[in-house]
Amino acid sequence: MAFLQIAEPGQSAAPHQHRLAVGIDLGTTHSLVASVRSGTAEVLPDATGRALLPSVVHYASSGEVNVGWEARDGAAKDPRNTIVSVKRFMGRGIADIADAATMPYQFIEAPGMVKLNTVAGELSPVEVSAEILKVLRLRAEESLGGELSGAVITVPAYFDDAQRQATKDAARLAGINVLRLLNEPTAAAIAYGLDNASEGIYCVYDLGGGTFDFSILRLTRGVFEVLATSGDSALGGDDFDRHIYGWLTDILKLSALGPEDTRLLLTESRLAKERLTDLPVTEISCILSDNTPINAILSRDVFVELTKSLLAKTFSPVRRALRDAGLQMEDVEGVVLVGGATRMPHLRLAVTELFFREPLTNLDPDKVVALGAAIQANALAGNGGGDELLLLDVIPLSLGIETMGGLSEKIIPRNSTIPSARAQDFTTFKDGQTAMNFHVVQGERELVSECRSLASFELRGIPPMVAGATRIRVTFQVDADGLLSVSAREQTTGIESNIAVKPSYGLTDVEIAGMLTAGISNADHDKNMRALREAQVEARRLLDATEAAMSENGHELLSKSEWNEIWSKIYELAEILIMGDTSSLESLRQNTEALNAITDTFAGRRMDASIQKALSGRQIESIDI
Amino acid sequence: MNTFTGTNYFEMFGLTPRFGIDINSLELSFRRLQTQLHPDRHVSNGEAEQRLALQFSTALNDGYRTLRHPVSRAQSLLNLAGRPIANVAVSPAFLMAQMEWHEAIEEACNSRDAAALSALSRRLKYKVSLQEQNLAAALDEYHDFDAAAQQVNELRFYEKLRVEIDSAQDKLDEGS
Repeated sequence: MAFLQIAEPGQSAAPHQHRLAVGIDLGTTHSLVASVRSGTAEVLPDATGRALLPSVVHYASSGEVNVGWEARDGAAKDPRNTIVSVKRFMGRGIADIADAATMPYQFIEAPGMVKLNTVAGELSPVEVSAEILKVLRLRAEESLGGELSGAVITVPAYFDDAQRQATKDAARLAGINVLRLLNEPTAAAIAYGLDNASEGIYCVYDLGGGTFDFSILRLTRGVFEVLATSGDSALGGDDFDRHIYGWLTDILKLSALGPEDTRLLLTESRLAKERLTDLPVTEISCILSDNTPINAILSRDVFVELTKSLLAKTFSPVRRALRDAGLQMEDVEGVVLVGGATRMPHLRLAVTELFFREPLTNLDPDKVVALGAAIQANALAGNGGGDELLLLDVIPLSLGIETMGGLSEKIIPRNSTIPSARAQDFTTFKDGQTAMNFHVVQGERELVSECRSLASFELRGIPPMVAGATRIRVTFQVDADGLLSVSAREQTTGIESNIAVKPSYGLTDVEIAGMLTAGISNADHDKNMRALREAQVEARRLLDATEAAMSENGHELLSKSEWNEIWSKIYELAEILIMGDTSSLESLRQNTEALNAITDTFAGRRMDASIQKALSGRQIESIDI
Repeated sequence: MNTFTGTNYFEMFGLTPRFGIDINSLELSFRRLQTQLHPDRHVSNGEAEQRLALQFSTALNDGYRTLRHPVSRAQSLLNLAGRPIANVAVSPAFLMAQMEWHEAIEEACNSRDAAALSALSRRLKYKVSLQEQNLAAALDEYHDFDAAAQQVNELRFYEKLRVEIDSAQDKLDEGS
């Protein structure tokens, strides 16, 4: 294990030590894991050589949890305990799930996010997703032969804050260190752009199992700049299955189907859709649980007619994104198709007609997202190769705050490049008011009631003044994962209130901790071991980073005494790390903190050096040109 | 410390503060700086560097957006010159013209006339480009900050019209 191999401080520096990092495409219908090996991104298959893992989790009454093909094939036998397309429920309340009534699950209303009642108890979609992620993590660790240092996990670009946070929580629950949440179309663009050395304006049309994303990017010398993104987080390939299902129940006058039959017919519908990619006509035949035989002939023409409205639904986001980016159709160099649903011939034809050009399909639409994520993971882990790769992504939906009359005041507009921060001043509306409530929302509508509520918090201790005299500055910060944190500060007294936007929908840290230890008899011991492990990883990471920084430019940027001081802290921390027993947890944390604190100034100087380097490089380059 | 605090956005990108800037040069500096400072470059670095990377990268995005768009670029020039545009009034004639624009947009929207909306959008684009030429002259040639403030203020009205036309087009799209 890595910890036991720790070299003498100063000798280990090892900036080029290869870190095992993977990209994970956590899809609605399928999930994949990929990694860069000897310079090439490749999907990691399971023991039998299959790349895709169906995103299906079966909870058996025996307590066994099954993920993947077996779970999918048995879905019709135990639909209530076989969770299919769980991604649709991530960060969602029951009111958000349009067709909840036709699904074979027992939903439980819970604050912010639904839960599912199964034989394994009440489960959050986060827990179900974590089961899928765990399987992929193990697959990667077996295949790469070591513990993962981190993963890039992809999310639909159109996912809001709640859905992103839920995804990150699921990864944490699966024991994965999330290097970055990456938007799926951006991941596809990376894989595509690097493979074809493309330059110019490219669009990514990504119709997954349950989500639709459309992104416009500008590719310039390894920089992937997202200009605009749009989509529909409740529209995907699954909906095409559902339209076939609806047609079947209609023409065969089937009513009041049980969950088993519903699942069976949905599966048959999906298979028919897939067959129609290569055939003009297909037959659907199966037998219901009461022995009623089902026989129907579905032609491609009928299928096209049935799903015309779904295709049209993808085109208004396309036009909106082009408007937001200030571009015309003819500015677009190429359109990349991503997602299994883009195999449908009538979809390809419609996209061709919309853009007046053949879409690009030379990379497998099922794998391209995972491959792009693997390339980004490799670059983030510092394994080199991606030195010129830079992603500049945007937030998909505006972030705002509720003002008088239930209106949303937009603080950060959609399509702002992240990381992003904006501040706005608010004031009290009553004389002597000492507290103020803030309601944070996401969405484009003017009415707060039509936006997604993200969080509420209160700033207290405002000095009593006449209405309108106080100035309260509210700052929104969106980080590189697209996650929001909000702070409010009364300007005269400096009273402050901070919130990571989380509690109003998702899981609290306490809930996560509970899930992590649930089902483990020796919970306390396990919790301690886990805390120690996390502290060790953190310390190890800091040691690596500091040693690499010292050897890179410590001599130029530090005085002799500063240099010595930092080295003495490095030695102290390394010594405690090597001890490695549970009793060292506190001192490990303290010494990590101490090394962090003492390198603060050094970090600042290093960043300044980077700025100088960037600007002087610019001058050289502009002279060259 | 020569960090970004206290520098203006023009300095940040190594540009001379004027309205007519070389957009290519701005883009080039932006990309070079982000390549060094973006949080993605500091994932495996210490906490302090990660925090600074987030701050700097955020500032770069803000600066880039501000300078890239003519209205905000002009506003920051006026701020640098100590002439913030607060309290600049627009002429009654301009306001009348605004009302007419609003009515035309509303009418096109009510009659679900997509062609009329895109015609309005093109006309607005033309008006904006003329106004930006005037603004460039006022700021860079005549240093007439009063006239510039007036023009910037009018451009902000045009910006609102553009948003209105865009969302009208969104609505037509979604309704179809």
